[in-house]
Amino acid sequence: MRLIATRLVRQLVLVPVVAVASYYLMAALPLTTESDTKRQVSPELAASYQRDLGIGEPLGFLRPWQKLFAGERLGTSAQGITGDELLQKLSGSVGVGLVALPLALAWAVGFALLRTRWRRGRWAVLGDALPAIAFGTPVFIPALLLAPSVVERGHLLPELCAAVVIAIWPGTFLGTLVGDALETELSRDYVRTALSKGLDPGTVMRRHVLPNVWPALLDAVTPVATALLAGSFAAERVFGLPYFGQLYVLAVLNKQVAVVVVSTTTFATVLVVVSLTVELLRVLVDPRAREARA
Amino acid sequence: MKRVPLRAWVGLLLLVGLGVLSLVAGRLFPESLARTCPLGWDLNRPDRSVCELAFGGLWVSLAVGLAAGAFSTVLGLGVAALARLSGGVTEQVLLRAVDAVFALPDVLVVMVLQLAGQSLMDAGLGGGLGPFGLMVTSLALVGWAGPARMFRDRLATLEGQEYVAAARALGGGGAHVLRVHLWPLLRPFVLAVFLSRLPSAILTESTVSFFGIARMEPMSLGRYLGTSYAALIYEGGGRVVLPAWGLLVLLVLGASLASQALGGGSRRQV
Amino acid sequence: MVAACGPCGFQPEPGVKVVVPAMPTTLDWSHSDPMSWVNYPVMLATQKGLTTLGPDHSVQPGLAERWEREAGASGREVYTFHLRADVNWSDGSPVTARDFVFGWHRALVGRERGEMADLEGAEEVLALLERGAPAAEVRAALSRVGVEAVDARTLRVTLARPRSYFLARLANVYLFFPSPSVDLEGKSDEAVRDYFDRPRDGRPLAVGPYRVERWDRAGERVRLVYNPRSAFPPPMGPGETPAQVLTLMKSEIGPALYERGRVDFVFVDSAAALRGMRPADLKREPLLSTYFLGFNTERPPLDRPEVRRALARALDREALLAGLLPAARATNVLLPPELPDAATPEQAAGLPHYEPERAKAELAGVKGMDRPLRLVVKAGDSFVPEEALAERIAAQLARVGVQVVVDSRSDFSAEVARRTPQGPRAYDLFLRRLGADYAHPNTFFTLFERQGNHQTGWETQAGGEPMQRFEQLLEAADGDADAAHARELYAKAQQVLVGEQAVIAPLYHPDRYFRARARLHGLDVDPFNFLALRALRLGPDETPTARAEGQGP
Repeated sequence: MRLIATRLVRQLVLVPVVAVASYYLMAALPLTTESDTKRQVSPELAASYQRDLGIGEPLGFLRPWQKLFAGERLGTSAQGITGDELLQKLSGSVGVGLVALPLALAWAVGFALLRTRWRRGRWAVLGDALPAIAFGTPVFIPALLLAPSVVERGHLLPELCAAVVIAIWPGTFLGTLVGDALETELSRDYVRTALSKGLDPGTVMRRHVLPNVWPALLDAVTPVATALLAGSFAAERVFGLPYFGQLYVLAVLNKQVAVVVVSTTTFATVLVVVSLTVELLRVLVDPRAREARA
Repeated sequence: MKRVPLRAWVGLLLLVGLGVLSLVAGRLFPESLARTCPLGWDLNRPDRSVCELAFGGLWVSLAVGLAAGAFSTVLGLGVAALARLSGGVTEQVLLRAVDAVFALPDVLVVMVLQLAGQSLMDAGLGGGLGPFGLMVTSLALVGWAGPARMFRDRLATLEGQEYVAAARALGGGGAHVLRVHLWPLLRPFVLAVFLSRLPSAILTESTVSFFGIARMEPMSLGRYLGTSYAALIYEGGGRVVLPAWGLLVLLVLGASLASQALGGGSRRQV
Repeated sequence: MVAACGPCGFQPEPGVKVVVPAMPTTLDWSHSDPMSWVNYPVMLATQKGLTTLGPDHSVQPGLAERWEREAGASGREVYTFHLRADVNWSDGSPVTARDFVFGWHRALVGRERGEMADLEGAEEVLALLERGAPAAEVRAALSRVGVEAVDARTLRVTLARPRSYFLARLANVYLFFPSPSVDLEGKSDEAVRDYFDRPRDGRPLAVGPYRVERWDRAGERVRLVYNPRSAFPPPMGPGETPAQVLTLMKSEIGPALYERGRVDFVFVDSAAALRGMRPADLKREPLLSTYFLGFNTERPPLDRPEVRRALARALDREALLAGLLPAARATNVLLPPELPDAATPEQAAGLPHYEPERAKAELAGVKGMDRPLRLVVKAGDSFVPEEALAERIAAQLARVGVQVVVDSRSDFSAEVARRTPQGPRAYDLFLRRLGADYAHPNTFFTLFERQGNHQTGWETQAGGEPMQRFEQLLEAADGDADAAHARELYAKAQQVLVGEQAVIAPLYHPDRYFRARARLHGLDVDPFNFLALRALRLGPDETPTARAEGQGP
């Protein structure tokens, strides 16, 4: 139990670290100084920094949060946001991410199985080429290819396509990992034993090999979730989805510093929630994890 | 030379080939390239050929990727070595810092760093850092955490080896063991990690350019893609976007082949 | 999951969808923003000035049904506006003279307060704000400014000096539009700004045919709804209906969406799109606008007018634009020909134009030309193919032996304003577009006045004498009631700026291209480059298929 608690704390510590670090990075910018010549932003923006950041106060970094929870607006009237808006935008992005995650997992398992099959055939080169194509393709390119046929059509089509597009890269990455794990497991003795006892290869795969591969898959879920959310930044822009990624990009472009601080921390929080869920799942799924921790 | 696998050679060759090609075509003889370009002229800059822009951009992207990759690898190595040498609480604190940086996606952190860097430059506090320098710096500041984690884990594994314990028993200090016994084994791994940083640096740069946040000058492959992607939806736009995309894919293929083969090769050695 | 994302699924916007190249930066028309051109479509659709402009750019009654103009004491000019009785805000409350006083007072302390400088007493307010005077002092100065509500429907405006363009400005410059004072009085500055920028519950109020219902910043969409109480409904023909909902949106793939029938209006700005197919419904609007090459008159070798004139003569404007755009109006004058009071052909011939041999001869032996000149240009997409033009200018100047390096910058305005430690600005040449805000020559000259944002440093030329002459000419022209005489004075001012001093070399008058469904009647881009929504109504055929194919009657 202590081990689990330690891991929990380690994960949770990330949130305040990101909150404080992003705050002080932003507070240190010349944007927020007193002198007009150095600042080069409009007086409204400068006034919003004064209001939102509590610069120079001992607990200044709590100011944006205090305002957010009080339902007040952060940033300027034209480009700022309130807590409600932030939550609403976030829920959209998380929704897309939740669709993309199973897509990525399915794509990963499929790709891993194919790769294992191709391993010794003439398709072996595909096993290398596909990941290279996936990694070498910025998310906005497949998004643009799909976008004209789905944008402004409704019926959740843009969301779905965004999920498909952002799942390609993490899915391939995950697939490569799972493929490696699969290969290691397949070369183990127990597989040979099971096969020689007359079990058909499908059953061996399902009953013996895959359960041993799940932990490798779980390990990779957190980085994959990060990649999914990061991919959603570009996808949301192309598909015209008004969610968290768009909000973040616009906040950076419009120098809404307090919004950037709050959104970055929110982003980190989402990732922490994902990795906590993964920890929980691991305990449920993987007996080895349970024993190691008991 | 038998220790370097064939796939690594293929990957390295691909990388060097692309580098030489972009240097010759994009830098040394851009005029003759422009005259002979089979892909025609760019849609938005009708006096520049697609080849010229793509190869010129490739050269810049390679430079950004190599510089950022090198910086982040060195930074990562430094942090990992520091963590292992100091041990105890310092190591734990460093590892948490690594986790914090690693948890956030590169694109997001680079956006924030670009915002910070640009406002510093606008205020005349850039310290002579141009857009190129700013991009390399922000990519390096983002990219060190992954390598640091990998190096630290690899060092921890290597230190478990018997001969290291023997060297320690004979009175070898931490720095000595690191330099004499661990470094030779770590070298191919360092190269592999460095190569694996290359594509992610280039891709991150391109995505940030796509958002219009980066001001990469001169035009990089990423910014070329990021600013002319819209041509994809017009007729004949494919010939503008596809070559640049193809170059990017080849670059990634080269880097990942070499990186995997080297990383995998060294894994088998140990 | 459905529960997790609340009003789940981003639905396509209802109503007429218009793709705009940029979102508004604010909806607060009094406080405003120097980047104001992006705000115009919304402001012009939802609000109205005391005057409006007719199709021939002439001044017509707007919120004011009539006005008197008289000379006041010590050279002042006094306007008395009589407001229309039937004009109401979108909640039914009447528009009063008080609304103008309130709005103009806010505009005087807002971000574009310089635009209000013609009002009597405005100079004092601007000066107080410049030196950061206490709020009470500013308030006292504001109360002395020449705008007063005589009664609920009579507004008296006093200008410090006669200004012939003032009535034209009232029509388009939205800082002069009224503000709903009943809603706003007593609110804090921040609350007032929230009132405008965060539309809700039928606010902000509107007088125009539309009012803003929603502004989704992350979604980059502004939704306008029809304002049935407006006294300025679109001119409805038989079978025509008003558009109940109108969405302005930004999209990376606007033209493709238009092609597929999912949006109803799109600007066609990218050279890539213009050079591809030419659709039948592609429309071209000649803008009251000029694209020009600006010179840094403080840095050798461009500190001598003869060198600048020679460079202006070295540019073959027709060749510069050839093949870039479907059509182009190359020019060597600042004032576009469509403008009332534009230059005559004889006057144009007197200004520097393409004469390569003469340019070569004039440039021969000029000292300091061995240094490459840096041409700063705005990076990024625009309906002016800026980077392509810059590269061609460099090629043309190379032919007369002048080396030019193109520096395309996304931080264009900061770069052009940047000064070297020695004093002069750091650039040599820049490219820029100047657009009219109202149909009057004055709008093209204000940029180049001493206080203007021209960044050429020409106020230092010849000890400031040419600038002084230029400003005197404008001053006289602006105050001249005799149109023919005023026109001569403006032509002289243009001769000083473009001919004698050659501070700029005009290149062409840009056009704007767009596509709109035939069903949308009255949707247009006006010569000021503003998307004009106020006359929009829908044609009879509204079946989805007809809509997709653009087969309006």
